[in-house]
Amino acid sequence: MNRRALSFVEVIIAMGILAMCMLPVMTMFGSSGRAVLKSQNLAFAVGLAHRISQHLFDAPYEAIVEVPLPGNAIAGGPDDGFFNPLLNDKTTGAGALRITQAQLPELWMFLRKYDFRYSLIVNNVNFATGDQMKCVGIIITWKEGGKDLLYKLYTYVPDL
Amino acid sequence: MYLTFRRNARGTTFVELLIGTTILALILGFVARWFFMQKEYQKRLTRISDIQNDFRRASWEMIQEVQMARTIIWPRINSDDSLRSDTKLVFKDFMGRIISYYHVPGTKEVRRCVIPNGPGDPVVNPAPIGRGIATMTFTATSPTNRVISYCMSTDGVFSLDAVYLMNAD
Repeated sequence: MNRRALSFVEVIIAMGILAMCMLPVMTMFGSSGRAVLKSQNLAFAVGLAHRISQHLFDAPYEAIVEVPLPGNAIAGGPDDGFFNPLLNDKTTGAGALRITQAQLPELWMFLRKYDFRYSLIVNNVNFATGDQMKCVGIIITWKEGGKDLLYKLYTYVPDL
Repeated sequence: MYLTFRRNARGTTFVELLIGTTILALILGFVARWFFMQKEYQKRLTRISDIQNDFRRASWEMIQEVQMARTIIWPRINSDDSLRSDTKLVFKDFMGRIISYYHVPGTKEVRRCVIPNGPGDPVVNPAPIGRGIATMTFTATSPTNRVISYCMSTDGVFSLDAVYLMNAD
């Protein structure tokens, strides 16, 4: 048989194989995107934990208490000295802005989307009378792709 | 007498060609649409990654210097003990120089300058501390004036952090 051209069936089969080969490439793009988003949220969580640790150094020693899991939500959370109120460009407390939908909508939406929360695990460490410190575990949790993720940072706050 | 015709199967018919072309066009249409969507998605992710790098660089530079500062001059908490924010931070560094970090909204930069302790103009660093930062706010929250919180944002990407002055007077 003289086969100088392609038959219709061969063309269809070739297109089917091409479509099947595209599938792994498509999934590869998707997974690289998820990795970037994960690193974005992790970098943000690291900053949050560092922020809390810096504020703990300045907080009154007795005021450093445990915040049990699941923790306090940062968006719309209580006035805690870490995140709420967040900003104030006025000369009185009336101008203070909290992370709420009304006052800081973009930040509120981002924090609510991933449900960022913080909790504190506090352990007292006594070396001698009058020489003590608190070992504070700062846990930042958030939700991503249906999974619960967390970042933990330990800091030691002396009783000065 | 019957005549038998043997079909010559050396090529494709016009109808087969038409159907094949249509199917190919549909597949290519889906692939092209997916390709351009992915291209936009990747562009957005690259932009987010670049913004985070900008935040990290600026944070690193500022934290290194501010945590060894001796005192924060501005912002300071309000008279009613409420927090106070500003787009500039002024502090005395460990060598006694007056340094300021300030945000320039037009160029989306955070710049550093040394303010002379006497007559003269501030000496601005030739290169900015941070680039591509749409908003930057420094906030004083504590009466002890030993913690400065800061908040950066660009295109829906945020960074919240703080610095404790380890070397304060």
